[in-house]
Amino acid sequence: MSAPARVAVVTGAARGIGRATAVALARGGFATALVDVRGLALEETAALVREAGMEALALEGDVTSFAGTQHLAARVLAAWARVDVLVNNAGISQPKGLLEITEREWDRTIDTHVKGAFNWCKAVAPTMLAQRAGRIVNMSSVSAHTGAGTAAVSRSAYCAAKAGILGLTRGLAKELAPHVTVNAICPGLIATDLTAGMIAREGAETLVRSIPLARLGTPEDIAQVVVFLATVTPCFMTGEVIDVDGGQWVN
Amino acid sequence: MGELTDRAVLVTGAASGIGRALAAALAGRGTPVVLCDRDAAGVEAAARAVAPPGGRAWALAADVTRPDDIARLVERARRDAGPLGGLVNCAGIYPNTPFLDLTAEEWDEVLAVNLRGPFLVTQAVARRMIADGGGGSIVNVSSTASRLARPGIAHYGASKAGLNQLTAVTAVELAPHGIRVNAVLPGVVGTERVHASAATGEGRVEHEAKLARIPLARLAEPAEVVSVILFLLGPEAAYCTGALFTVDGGFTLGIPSAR
Repeated sequence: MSAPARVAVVTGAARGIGRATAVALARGGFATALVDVRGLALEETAALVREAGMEALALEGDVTSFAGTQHLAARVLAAWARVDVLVNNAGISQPKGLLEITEREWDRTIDTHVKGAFNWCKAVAPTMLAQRAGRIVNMSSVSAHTGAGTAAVSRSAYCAAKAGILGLTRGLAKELAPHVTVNAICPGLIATDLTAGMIAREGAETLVRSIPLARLGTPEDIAQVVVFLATVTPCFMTGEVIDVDGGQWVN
Repeated sequence: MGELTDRAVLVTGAASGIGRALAAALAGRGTPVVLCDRDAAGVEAAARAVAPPGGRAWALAADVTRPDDIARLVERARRDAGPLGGLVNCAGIYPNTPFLDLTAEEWDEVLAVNLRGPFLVTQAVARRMIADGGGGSIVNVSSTASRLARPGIAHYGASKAGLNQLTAVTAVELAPHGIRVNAVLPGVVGTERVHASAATGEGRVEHEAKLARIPLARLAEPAEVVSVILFLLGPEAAYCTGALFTVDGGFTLGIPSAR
């Protein structure tokens, strides 16, 4: 089998935005390495990538592990010898506020989002720099701006983690310039497994009233923006934070 | 990138620069495009140049600061090119004048073209889109000058900061009609004029100092601004509204956002 022309790594690829992104990238011609702790669901995403006609590598693993990430990145490079796009999407919700959250839960929240993104950037940036080309897209959230609230799944720890991703994005945009771009997307309220419970609790109709476009976002809405940032050539956007929220935040 | 709808796109300020490059890209994709500029000869020439053989491009001379011109523009565009699916407010002027020398007349002119113009054109086009059944995408060409304090751009920067807020509010008000509104904020674009200035002795020093502050270490190609506008016009940006897309190579990193 010949090496694929373009390779993407997507973390949190077992479901939701990560899965939609992996499939959209595959449709755009990327062989796709898929990372998630949920091995079974990850295989389903891999099957969807293959249905789109591209190779898939399902890598079960936890993004919070530095050594584990180094190992998985080595497998990607062994298979395909390049990484063109990294999408740091792995995340967890954290509905507990300051008075309820434990130290361990705080650490887990920050580690999954911020350290997870750091681990994968650290693992693939040398390859991208050597290629003199690469695109990194980090998944933040409008919660990083707004502090979340009742019509959101998560509270302050999640907001802090997602804001941490914005700082990482801006810093890396400078460190990895000019050949590697680093941008972030801030989704609004997206209908996924992660948000299903909250949407059922609050009522979709109530939630939609705060969204000018009058609908919840879909994973595909976000995936399309990721693909744009990952593929538009040439690209003069770096360190940029893009809100994809149906107008909810400015409202 | 997928295809735009087959409805027409109206581009103001289309005789030159980003507006013209955008019109060329749209015409090249087979999208009916209406080029508007107050430079009548320039916009005629641009429409002829960008239209592929048998392509659909119309030139309309209009001054975006004049409501009567705009009413005529929108009706003509609708008649010639069919229902409008997109509007790109690209018309703008950018004089550089030290604040202490700035006259009320120059202030008024910059605000009229850069802010009152997009207000009037957006209102006229949105009314027409709604009359035609709703739906559409509007892109305002703002500037990093809306967030960056540089000498000489008090009027220009204020007009573009105003345009960002016009973007946000119109996004909210037009969303029920299926019309999305977003803004693109280019940094310094490497137009012919900029490159010519950078070739002179004094210009080169200034140019290199500027590049040293841009992480991507170069100026934007007009095509790099055009590709973001095309994305925002198209179906891939279906959930984007009220958003600002900065296209500046990282130049304004660290400058506090307007919001």
